[in-house]
Amino acid sequence: MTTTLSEPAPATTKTRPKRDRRWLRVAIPFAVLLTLVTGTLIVHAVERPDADDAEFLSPVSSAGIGGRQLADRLRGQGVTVTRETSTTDALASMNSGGPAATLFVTTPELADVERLSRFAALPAGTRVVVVAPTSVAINTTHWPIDQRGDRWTTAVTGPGCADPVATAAGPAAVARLRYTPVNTSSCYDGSLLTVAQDGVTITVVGAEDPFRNDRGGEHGNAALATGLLSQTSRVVWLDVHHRETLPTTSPTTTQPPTIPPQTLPTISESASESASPIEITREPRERPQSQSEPNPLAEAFPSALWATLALLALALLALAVAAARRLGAPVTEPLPSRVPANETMLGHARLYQRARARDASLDVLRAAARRRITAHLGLPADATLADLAEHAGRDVDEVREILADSYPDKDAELVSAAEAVQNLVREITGFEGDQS
Amino acid sequence: MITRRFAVLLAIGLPLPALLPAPWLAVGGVLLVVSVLALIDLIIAGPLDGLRLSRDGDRTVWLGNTATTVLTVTNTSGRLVRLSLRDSWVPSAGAGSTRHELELEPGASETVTTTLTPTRHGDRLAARVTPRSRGPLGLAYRQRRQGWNEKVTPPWTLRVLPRFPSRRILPEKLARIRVLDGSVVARGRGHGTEFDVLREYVIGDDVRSIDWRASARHNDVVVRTWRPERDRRVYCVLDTGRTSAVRVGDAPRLDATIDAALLLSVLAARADDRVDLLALDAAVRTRVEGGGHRVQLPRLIDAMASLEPALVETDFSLLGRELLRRDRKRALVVIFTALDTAPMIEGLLPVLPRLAARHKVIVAGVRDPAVARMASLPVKARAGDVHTAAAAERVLFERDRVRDVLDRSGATVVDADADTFASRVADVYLLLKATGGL
Repeated sequence: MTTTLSEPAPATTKTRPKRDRRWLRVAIPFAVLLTLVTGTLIVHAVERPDADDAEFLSPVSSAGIGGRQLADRLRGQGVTVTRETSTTDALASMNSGGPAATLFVTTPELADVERLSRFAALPAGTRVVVVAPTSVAINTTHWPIDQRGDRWTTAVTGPGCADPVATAAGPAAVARLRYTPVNTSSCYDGSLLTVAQDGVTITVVGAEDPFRNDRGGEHGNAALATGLLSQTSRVVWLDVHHRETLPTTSPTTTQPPTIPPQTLPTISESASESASPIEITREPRERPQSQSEPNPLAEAFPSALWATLALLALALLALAVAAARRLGAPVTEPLPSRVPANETMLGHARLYQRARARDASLDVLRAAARRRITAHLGLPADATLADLAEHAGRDVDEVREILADSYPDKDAELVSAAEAVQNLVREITGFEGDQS
Repeated sequence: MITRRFAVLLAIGLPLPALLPAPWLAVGGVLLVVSVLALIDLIIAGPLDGLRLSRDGDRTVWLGNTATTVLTVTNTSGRLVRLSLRDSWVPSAGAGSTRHELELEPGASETVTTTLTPTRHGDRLAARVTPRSRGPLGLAYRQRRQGWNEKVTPPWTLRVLPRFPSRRILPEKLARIRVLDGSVVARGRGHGTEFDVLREYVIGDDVRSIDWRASARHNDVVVRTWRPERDRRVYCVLDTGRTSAVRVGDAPRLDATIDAALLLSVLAARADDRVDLLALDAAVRTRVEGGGHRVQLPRLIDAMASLEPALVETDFSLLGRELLRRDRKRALVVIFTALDTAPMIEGLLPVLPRLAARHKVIVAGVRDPAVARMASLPVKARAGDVHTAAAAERVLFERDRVRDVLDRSGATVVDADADTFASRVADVYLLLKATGGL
């Protein structure tokens, strides 16, 4: 089967000009490459854990990306783990007195880290451990840290520093984001950095892998995570999975001093409607501008995009104009008639059929047959059936049966009757078809 | 006008708004630069007013053959003209490649050749020549309005002569004419009625044809010989009305009648008869009369080429008016038409007796072979086939009746399928020629 199918194929490819497929040689490798790159990017984006996910590094989640095993390990070492779901609550919990505590920030992109970095926001002696903050998150803070570079995936490196926690843990999967400044407290090729500001010790970790349930058992991940968080007797675990809104009246003494009290209610209203509160708090002077320009779509995209779109529209318009002008309009001429000569006849036939005029059709056929037989036998035009039968040497009853009696009730009977008429004519005249 | 290159140039400028600090200014800049370039291009493009067009080539072609026409373009302006040119013909002219690219120096002239393979007979017109003068950058061009183009186009008409498929049976019919000539000599008085020449008696000649008076003068027995009549008149009447427009097989019925009329004309011209032509529907379309034997035939073919069916009822009283004029001599009138009931009974029948009294009339109708085929039932017939056969029988019966009626009015009726039609008409003519019936 395959051989018979494959044999004619070369013939067709030979006859076809080669030029038609030449572009394929260029297009196919690029298309394959493009598909591979696009597919890889999509798979990578899908596989990365999402900070919006409620399971992500949550102390109560036992999913693969959760952090329950870490929390259990800490509790096993006698550390109190307090889960807070907002920055405000976390700050309240940190400032509630007692011994120095560790604030564990799992989602710095979503949590309001700017507030954490304010002067005197946290009591002295506090440790802050931040998981994989990008430059966007770091730039909102006042911490003397910057992100230097990132990797496609997390790499395992040795500690390469004198930090006791890191050396105790050994090689760990931390190296994805790297931070500057590189100083003596910088471990794991710049992925674990500890700085001190205003009496608060800030540690940034380059990847979330050491804290995850499914990666805790690999290398020295568990030891590193536990070591980082068990320096104090209490850990406040900030478990935020939505972009933080501006806190309203805080019960604590750390009232934000930059915001005037009279603007607070309006801002809080707009914030509760889940607009973009971070931008509003940072740049409150933009509000009057947005009121005078009510179209949010125009502001949503840069004007370069609109300009490019306008130019594209102009180019397409020019293309349409160029294509519209023809080199000479089509020439018209009257066409000859397409009506076939026998159209009326076929129309008659269909009318007979639609009206089921079996008797009428058969009568026409019988009359034609009688004329032919009469002409063939040389009889006068008004010869009777008996005369016909006698001259043709046939049985009178049979001829009468075929040419006069028996009208059909069904189409099948009509067909057999018509065939009988035709056969009778052929037998008597010995001639087929029209003899005129 | 702008070309596609203009649009492409705009598209090349697409990244600029994103790259430059002032996007809207960048858009304006791109637009300005491209527009200025196009404007310069348009100004440099050569003027169309200086072009002179003339045409030469074939004037006539047989249907099925290929003709060529040559268009000469001359640049009389003082500037270089880069020209795209389209030589438009009507679709049925079957023009090959109609687009041409030219580059004309000042005062130079170039020719472009258009090959034509017409699909229908008749006059095929050159519709218009559209020149387009491009600039050196190809961003803009000059092209005038359609009316201007039609004004500068040199008129040209290609006359396509009708297909003549009966040409292949022509030698056979001509041989029969020669046999006719010879048979008269052998059989003495035979069928010819016209005195030809005196010659010596040879044994076997009919004694009745001995010319005694001439024998007395010559001291020898001399016989008269006869030949068929010459200089008889054959009058071909072509019906170009609605019944000639319908399709028999794959061609209009008129094509079959033109073919038969051509064969008859060639035969009659070879047999030294005079052939006249009249084409009519609601009015007289073409009339070819008079002229010598040899000049007549090309004129007839030319006249038949221009015939086209008209969707009107044929007025046969016009025919009566033409043929019953007092100065008409007796002629063989061959009416090429269709044997449809209504036009025959209401149109031709009233004038037929008077025509037949003055002339010998043949009514020749082209038959549709499909009717006879449908009248007999197929092998595995169904009810629809029976009804079709009944309808076909009805048509055949009506045609027989028309034939009888026309016969009774004094006309000879030729009723044949399209493929044998010309041959049958020619046979009737030859028979009349042989029996001296003209």
